[in-house]
Amino acid sequence: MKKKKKVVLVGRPNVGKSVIFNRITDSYAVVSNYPGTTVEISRGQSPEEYGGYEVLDTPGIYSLMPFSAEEEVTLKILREEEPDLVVQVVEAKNIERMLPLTFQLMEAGFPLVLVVNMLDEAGEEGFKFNLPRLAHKLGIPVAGTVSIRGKGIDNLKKVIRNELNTGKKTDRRYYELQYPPVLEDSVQEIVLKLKGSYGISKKALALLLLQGDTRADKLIKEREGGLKYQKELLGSLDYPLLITMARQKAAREILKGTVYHQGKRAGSFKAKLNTITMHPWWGFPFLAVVLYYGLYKFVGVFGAGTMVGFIDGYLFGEHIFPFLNKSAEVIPYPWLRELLISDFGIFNLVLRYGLAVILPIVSSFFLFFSLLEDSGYLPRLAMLLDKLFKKFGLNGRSVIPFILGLGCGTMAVLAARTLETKRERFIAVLLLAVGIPCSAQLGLIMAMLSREPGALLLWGASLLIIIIITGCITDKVLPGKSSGFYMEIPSLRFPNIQALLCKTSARIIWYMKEIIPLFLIVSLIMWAGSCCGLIPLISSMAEPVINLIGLPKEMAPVFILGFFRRDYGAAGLYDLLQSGLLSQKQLVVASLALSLFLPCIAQFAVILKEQGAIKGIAVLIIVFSAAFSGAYILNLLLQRFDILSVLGGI
Amino acid sequence: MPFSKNKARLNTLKKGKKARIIEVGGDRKKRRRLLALGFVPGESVTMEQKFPVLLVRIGYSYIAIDEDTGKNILVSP
Repeated sequence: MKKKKKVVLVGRPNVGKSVIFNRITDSYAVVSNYPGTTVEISRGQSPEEYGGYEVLDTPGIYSLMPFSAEEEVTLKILREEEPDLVVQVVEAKNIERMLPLTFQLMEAGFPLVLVVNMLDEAGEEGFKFNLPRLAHKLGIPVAGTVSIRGKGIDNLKKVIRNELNTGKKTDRRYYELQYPPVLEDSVQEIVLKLKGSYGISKKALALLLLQGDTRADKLIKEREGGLKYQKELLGSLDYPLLITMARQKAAREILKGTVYHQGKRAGSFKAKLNTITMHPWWGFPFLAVVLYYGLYKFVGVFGAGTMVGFIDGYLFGEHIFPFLNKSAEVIPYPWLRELLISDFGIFNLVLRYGLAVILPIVSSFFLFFSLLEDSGYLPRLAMLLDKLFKKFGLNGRSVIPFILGLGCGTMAVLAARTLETKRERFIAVLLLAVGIPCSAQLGLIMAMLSREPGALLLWGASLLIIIIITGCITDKVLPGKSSGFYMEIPSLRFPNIQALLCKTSARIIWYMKEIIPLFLIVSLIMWAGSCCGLIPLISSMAEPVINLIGLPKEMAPVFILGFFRRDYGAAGLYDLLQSGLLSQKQLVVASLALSLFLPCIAQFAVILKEQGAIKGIAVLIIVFSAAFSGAYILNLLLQRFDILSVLGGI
Repeated sequence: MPFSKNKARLNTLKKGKKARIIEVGGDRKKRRRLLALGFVPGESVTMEQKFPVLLVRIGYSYIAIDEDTGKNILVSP
């Protein structure tokens, strides 16, 4: 049985790797976390007629020295998976800046194919390419594509198949980059001393070492026990600069005679859209529009309202549930029946809340998020919000965990791993726990408060203010400083629908697999708790505190529920509203308190795991204080000044 | 296109102006990142926007960096 050949796709972010991945694999790609990481990797199979090889899509990299946890995974894959072919995708109009990675990959010894993508955009900018000439100069096959339109894909598939079939013994000669002699000497010294095998060539490893790559250093120490060169060599020259400039120069040389430019820049609609989304003044209204239509209309009104109404109200309420309840009646064991069909039973908690309430809301959120990602809008968001995030010791790069937090706080805490310093990770996790409402909760609260837009505004504004205050205080109190902001801003592109849906469904499946079992356990605990009267006990203890913020004692069980399941809390609130136990003012205060209140148990469990017990408890305490002080102050304000009726007039 | 011999920090470059990178400073990690992003001595950059962050164009890429990071890059306008 022949071992399946492996092809690994690499390249910078936003060059179209995923689209190419989708085009060269058949439809059954698996998106999963690379073992031991939270980084998503796609694995797929090419169709049989083209060779039936395995394809891996990797997180974007700028060079073989990783800058983030995600880039490290790409490096890991390259070193450990022994690819039979590496396909590097570059953006045609930026090819000069992307060739240095090509050189690094060639130096490392990987069999390589270069894909020059987005030729259409380059054409609009006035570029013309002579790809066969480029291939000849580089010594590797070069394929030109417009991945979104599918142009050049058939050719690419043929090229890949040919390369895989010729095997490693080709007499094709790679372009060999000449470094300054001083550099070449240092490299040689190291290469001669290296004895082990590393998944990349010794020359490449030596170059990484000279640039101070700590991973390379560690690897060599492990395999060779440390080499004596370090002190003399590393101190003397500015290797990173020399190496980078040598590669840049080589890139320019190679492109001479293979790329022609007749400077033409059209003031197209696309260009205008690109500018508006980043504009210091127009960018923010645009953001507001995106949030309004994306979060409020799509996730809130459509997801939490329409879809849940249909699936929960109609499908489950009128068909599935009555059927299930009836069939459960035949079960001879009353305790089992109780476990299944009672209010805290499995049918209600897991099936109904899991499938009818959570699933539609979370799915619409993930769709929205994937759209933000694939269109290239997220970096613009990061750019616009950088100054705001700096106020709490973070920077624009934290935007991703925060937006994810609007979908699922647990996932957001995991995503916060990608932030660079421990300090940033803690602040992000804290703020997520304090005030970022997850989509289940967000959807329900928006649906509830939508009748009074004034109340919704008040809730939103109070939440934002408290998050900002908590962030600022934490920033002042914690030692250390924030790291710098840097981000490449890609052009806005219309996302490939197939890739979008693939990514979204992978995330939904991940969510269902990871979170639902937790809910199952929680349901069991709550069922046990309600049986032995634990919940009424805690409620009576919490009563005096709840009265302080002007809420009725019936809110106590709602808060407790809210800890276990955010959406239960919101639903409990809804019930109270229906039964007339809450005035409008109380509703706003309660919504605020609930949103600020402790993170749901799943999120808390992950926080403990990620940050450790001490920090986890610290988070809990801060969150608790913020929740009650916020609610207290809001209650006071509402009683003293009749803000609601003023806003109600809006 | 001739550039003057003066040195200035990137964050002081006015909007719409072009300059050539002379030196990339900062600690090792920051520097490597900037180099990899395309801030290489000899390359010319254009300041596209200054608020809320510095947005520069290098070739056909747009890179956003904050003021502090911009201070570390020396250019000749």
